[in-house]
Amino acid sequence: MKRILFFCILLFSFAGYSQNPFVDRDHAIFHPPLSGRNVGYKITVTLDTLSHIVKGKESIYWLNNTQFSTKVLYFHLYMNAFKNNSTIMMKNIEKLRHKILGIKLTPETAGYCSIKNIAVNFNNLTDYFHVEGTVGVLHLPFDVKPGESVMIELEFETKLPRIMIRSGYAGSFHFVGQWYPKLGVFQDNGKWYCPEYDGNGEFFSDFGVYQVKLTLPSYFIVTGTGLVVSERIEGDVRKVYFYAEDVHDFAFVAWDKFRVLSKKVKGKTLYVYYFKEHEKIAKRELDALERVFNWYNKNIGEYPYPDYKVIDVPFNGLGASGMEYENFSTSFSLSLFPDWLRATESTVVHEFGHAYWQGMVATNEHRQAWADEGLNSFFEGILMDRFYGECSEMKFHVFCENGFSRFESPNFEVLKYEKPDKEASEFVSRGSYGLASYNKFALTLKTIANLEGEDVVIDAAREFFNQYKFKHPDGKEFVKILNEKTDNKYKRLLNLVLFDVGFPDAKVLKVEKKCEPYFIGYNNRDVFYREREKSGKRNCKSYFYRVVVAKRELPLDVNGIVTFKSGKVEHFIIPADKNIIELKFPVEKTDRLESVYLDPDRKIMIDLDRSNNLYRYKPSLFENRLAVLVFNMLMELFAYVF
Amino acid sequence: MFFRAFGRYLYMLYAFYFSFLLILYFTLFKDYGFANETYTIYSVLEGCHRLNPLIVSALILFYIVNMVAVVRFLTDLSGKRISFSFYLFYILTTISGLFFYALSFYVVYFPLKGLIKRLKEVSLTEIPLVIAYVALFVLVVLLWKVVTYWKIRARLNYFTKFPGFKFLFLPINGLNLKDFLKFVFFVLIVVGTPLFSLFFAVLNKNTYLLFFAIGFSLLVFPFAKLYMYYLLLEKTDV
Repeated sequence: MKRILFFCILLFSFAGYSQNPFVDRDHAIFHPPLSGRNVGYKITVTLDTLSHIVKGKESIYWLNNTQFSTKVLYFHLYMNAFKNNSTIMMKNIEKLRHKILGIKLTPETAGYCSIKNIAVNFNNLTDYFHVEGTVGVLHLPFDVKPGESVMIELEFETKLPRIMIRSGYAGSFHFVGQWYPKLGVFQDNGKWYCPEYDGNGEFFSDFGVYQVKLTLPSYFIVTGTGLVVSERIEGDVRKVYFYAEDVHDFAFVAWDKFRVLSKKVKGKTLYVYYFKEHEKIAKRELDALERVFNWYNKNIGEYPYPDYKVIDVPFNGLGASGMEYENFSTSFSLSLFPDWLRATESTVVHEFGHAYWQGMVATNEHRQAWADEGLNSFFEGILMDRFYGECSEMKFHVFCENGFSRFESPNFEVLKYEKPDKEASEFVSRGSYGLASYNKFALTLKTIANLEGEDVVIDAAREFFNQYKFKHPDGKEFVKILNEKTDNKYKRLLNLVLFDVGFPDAKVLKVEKKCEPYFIGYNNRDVFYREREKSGKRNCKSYFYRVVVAKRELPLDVNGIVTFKSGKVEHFIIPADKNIIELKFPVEKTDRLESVYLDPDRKIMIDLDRSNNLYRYKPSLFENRLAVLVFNMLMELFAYVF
Repeated sequence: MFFRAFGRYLYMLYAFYFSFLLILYFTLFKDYGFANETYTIYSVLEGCHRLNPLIVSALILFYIVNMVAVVRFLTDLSGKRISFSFYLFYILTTISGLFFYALSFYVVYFPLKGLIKRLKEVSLTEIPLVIAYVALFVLVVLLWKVVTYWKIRARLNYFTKFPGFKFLFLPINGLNLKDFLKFVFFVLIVVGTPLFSLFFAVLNKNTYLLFFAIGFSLLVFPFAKLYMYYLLLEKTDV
């Protein structure tokens, strides 16, 4: 009776204030709400830092805001991906887990998420709940009609795995992400979206309100999504109350070795949670965070949340590094990273970008990873160059040219068969998922930025943000905005690159020196035959170079340049609508073609095979000498060993 | 005595190395070809990668030439007549050397393997792990030096005493620490100099440094190899 009364009071109270019953009036952050808030979570848990088990109760409010009814609810039970070595996740990360991190899967290192009992609107439906891998399905005895809401209450237990990828524990470091039973997304097409957690794809869920009450040992320092509304120590335990609004996930980190650096910027607080050995690196992380925070606020839109945190991950928990969560992210840093190796800064810049791309503009990361990862990688590239100068990730130019160097790969071959716009689970490997989702779209945007100016892409991103913040847009909406901004000049290219297996490539096909013989006359048999002198020697009237250049799936004008030994320089263009052209360059007998170079300004970065762009006389002397030396030394060493 | 015997085989090695590298050089340096647009770590690796198919055949060739040079040099130097068993012994010491290289690696690696695994589990920074790997590397290199030193001494012992096929019953030479340390220093200079030059040449794209490294390795390696045998031969009780 008491529970029903409580439920009625809740319903009445949020009807007057907000539709979501888990809005904490005393600590409300946003008036009016920034998002639809059709979900709410109230979680009360205890983290046992010795057994690495999070156990407790969870109440979920869900409003069916679609035009369809449903008789079933889908839940993510992400940690079941670490249950045994036959899950899709464990197969996908086998190399990472076993060979790189050297983690053996045992009951202690495995993870799981189990629901003890579950009730919907006070009906115990535990018997109707079944689990398949990382997805839990609950069949309801009634329909949840459009506009109706349900209150789900459950008890759950999550065992965190040893950190292999993203979340888990490493010693006393606890990274608690994807840890609670979480509703899938009931989409506008009347279908649930709740894919298996497979390691490739990331996350997609509804915006809502989170109240999380956490109990853990008193000597642990904890941070996470949202605000810490209250924190008190009772005996040997610490009780923390987190509250977050207009976010689509909740994660937290707990460690007894955390130290905190913070800075107030534009009324928001930026934090770096680090440990003693990373004191110097933490300053670099805070500096990078401040730069990227200011840039996004100025150029894309306001970051509305009260704070943002960067979590510095210890070496034994490196599997959790470089990942974005709501209101915070993890960095990637090693103690031996020198100042000039800016992998740390680039991770901060990249992960903060996710606060916008996927954090607020919540595209489906599992279905269209390119929409947030590709766009965000583009911003990482241009921002690293702006903040730290070109070739910012490394001091030595031998290793990079600019912020996009790390997105160039010597081998994009797999992109001939893998298109970016598909489910993450459909990619054959993590490598091809990465190349298709991160590199390909980032290089496409860099190409457009090179040809039209970076501001065009930034404008499109700003408009995308303003139109779709706190919504779930399709990635195509960004493409649409970009096409509008560029008068559809890149529409074909974008379609080929994103929605097909387009593999743009420009290539020097043929270079040959030819001779134009004198016209002597016709012979009797073959009227079109040019007679040569009887001596048999070729008697040339003039000489010319025949150059054939081509491109495929690259509907852009491609510039080219031909240089000659005499100093003569010829420019040419392969027009957007042509795939192959033949060029003739008359030369003196003694002159020699030195090079044919397609896209010499390196603007068309989406040319995915750049190895065939520069054809030249005596190529790359230094590299060849180097190869000879290395080979010689190798032989000498082998001969010495044997 | 040394230089009289030394010159002939040094010329032989030089002639082989130079001709081999020249062929290699002109194979790579075609008149025209596709080139890398920028000098990056990929272009450095790519050049070496292109030579991969040559490694096994070149290795066999280098091994045979080295074997002939060393065996003939030593027999000349010690005034023995060349014998088929010298070559056989040379090959057998190579095989047993490989076995001991592998053995010594595992002897060092197994105790450290547990430590490395433990450090991956508990270390907050990568520094202890890096130290463990460096220690592993240094210990393996040192042990391999011991194996190489033993191998050379065994060859010299055999060639000077020439016991026919009874070499299996010869006592293995003990490790003379002073000689061994000299040997280690010698090898470190000979191998380390071109390696360091190569490293800095790559970082700074310095052609002169690269030429120095090529020249050094080409000239000093063969010389050092024969001279090392000569020095150790002098220490062997003939």
